[in-house]
Amino acid sequence: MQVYPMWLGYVILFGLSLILTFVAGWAHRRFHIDTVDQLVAGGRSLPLGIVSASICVSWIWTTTIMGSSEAGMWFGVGGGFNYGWGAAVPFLALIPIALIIRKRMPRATTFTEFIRQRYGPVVHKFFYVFATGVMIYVCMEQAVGAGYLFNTLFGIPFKVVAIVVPLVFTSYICLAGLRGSVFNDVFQFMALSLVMFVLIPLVLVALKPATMYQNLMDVVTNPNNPNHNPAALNFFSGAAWRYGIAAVVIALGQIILDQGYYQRAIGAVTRNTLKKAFLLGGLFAWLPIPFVMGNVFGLGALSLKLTPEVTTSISPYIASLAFSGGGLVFLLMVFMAAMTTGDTSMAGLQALFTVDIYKRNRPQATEKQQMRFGRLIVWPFGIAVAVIAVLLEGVSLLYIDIVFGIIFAAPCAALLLGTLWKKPSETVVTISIIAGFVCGIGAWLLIPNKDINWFWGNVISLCLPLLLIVVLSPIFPSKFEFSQLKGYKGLIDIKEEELVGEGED
Amino acid sequence: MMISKTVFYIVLWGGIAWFYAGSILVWRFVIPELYSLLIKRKDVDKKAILEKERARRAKRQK
Repeated sequence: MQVYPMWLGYVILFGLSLILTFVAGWAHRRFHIDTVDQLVAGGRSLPLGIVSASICVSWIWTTTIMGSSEAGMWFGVGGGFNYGWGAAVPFLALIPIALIIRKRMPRATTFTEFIRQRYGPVVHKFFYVFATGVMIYVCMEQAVGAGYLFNTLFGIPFKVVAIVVPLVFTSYICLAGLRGSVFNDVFQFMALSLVMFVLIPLVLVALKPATMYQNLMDVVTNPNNPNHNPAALNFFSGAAWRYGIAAVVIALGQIILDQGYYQRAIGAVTRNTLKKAFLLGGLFAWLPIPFVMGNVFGLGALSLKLTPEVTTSISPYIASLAFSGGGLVFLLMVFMAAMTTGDTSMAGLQALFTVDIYKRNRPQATEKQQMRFGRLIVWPFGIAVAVIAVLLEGVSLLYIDIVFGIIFAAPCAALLLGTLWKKPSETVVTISIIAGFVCGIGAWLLIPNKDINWFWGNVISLCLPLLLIVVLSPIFPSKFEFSQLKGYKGLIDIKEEELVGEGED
Repeated sequence: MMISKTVFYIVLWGGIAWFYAGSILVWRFVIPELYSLLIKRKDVDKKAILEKERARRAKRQK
């Protein structure tokens, strides 16, 4: 289904890539990124609005825009809302974790440094693997999503897009690190919100809310309607709420194990800025987006009696109803969502490997050597992401999401409880992660009903470790005290003025 | 339980209003910060921000 000429697709792909690289180049020149702290933590001086905008677009995945519209079509009026709260709850869980790490260990740059101090080297190694896996997976999923979209709308070969997208965000993270990522996020936040400001009223004018409601009544009451769903106008439908719960489990690991979000938390100028920026960017600005996409685009498709083979393609179609270039504008929005999410995780990988692997294993490394390592390490990951994305051509994004949701849910309880409670020990936590992982994957593979096996796989992978830690920790408590974290010296050099006020109540 | 036309409108327009309010709120902070960083070429003053936060906290405690 090629909708637009191929040359236009190439112009968009390479034109936008050039603009994003230019923004990163500007950030590099403006802020003199010549220390590791500047490269991976933005000099710990990012202000409120910049962090809020960055947080908002980093959490807008391609699936936030297209998946929530799909949810609106599948589950009716509760679809977009359940997608939204399901993905927002893990975000709310991230805020106290980031605040606690920053307060107790002001010199830490990565969350894995906290894990090592809290639990010891064995759990630390587990988290390395899981965090690296999450970030590669996030980058890869954006490349696959962009590949499908450009292939469908412009006929550009999937492989070309799947290679270009990760290499572009890798190049600007190599150049300007966290600042390159954050300033590109701000640029893309502005573009994305402007597109939505214009597109949504125009789509509503085309759909007419009164007609939408009448047509939705037909979806509910008329068994001959191709999309007949008696629960389409039921805000509390069971299926929609189950979908919301599954979204919590799947999104939890994707958020709290992604160093990219902690980078923004560490980079915020003060702890108060961190808290406000995450609430503003996540709760106020991000949460209504899936809600609106589900209600306007998803319900719009239902009311028009659309029966597409792939429900993902409904959103560009609805956008094209607003005006003739609406589909194209929508594509720009999705492309930007893919780039911002990918660059967030790539910046996270850069920080994790530069600080917590290179500097930990080579404590004598000079600032220059660390900078060189930080700039080079993103390339093997960028290339690996491109290769994996190319290999995943034809695989469903939903399938990838479900499988990785089960894998990444297993260590979440250890991180959540470890920040709040001193009793969980290294042994208990290690057992819980292995048990959650094995039983979650086991449930997914062994439950014969394909409609529920993924749900139970995800739930078991998250809840079993939580249960094990809560039950076993009082029996085998750790001797850990949170006061031990206070003296943590950090791995990289940080200017004293950047630490003013940190660790205060 | 099927929602009425009024509730449908509240859900639809409420979500849209929330989206506009949230985005505009972020813009309200982003624009002055970008102006300061890009046009005035002034770096973020952490000490001044901390002072402001402390003063606000002290005022709230009084």
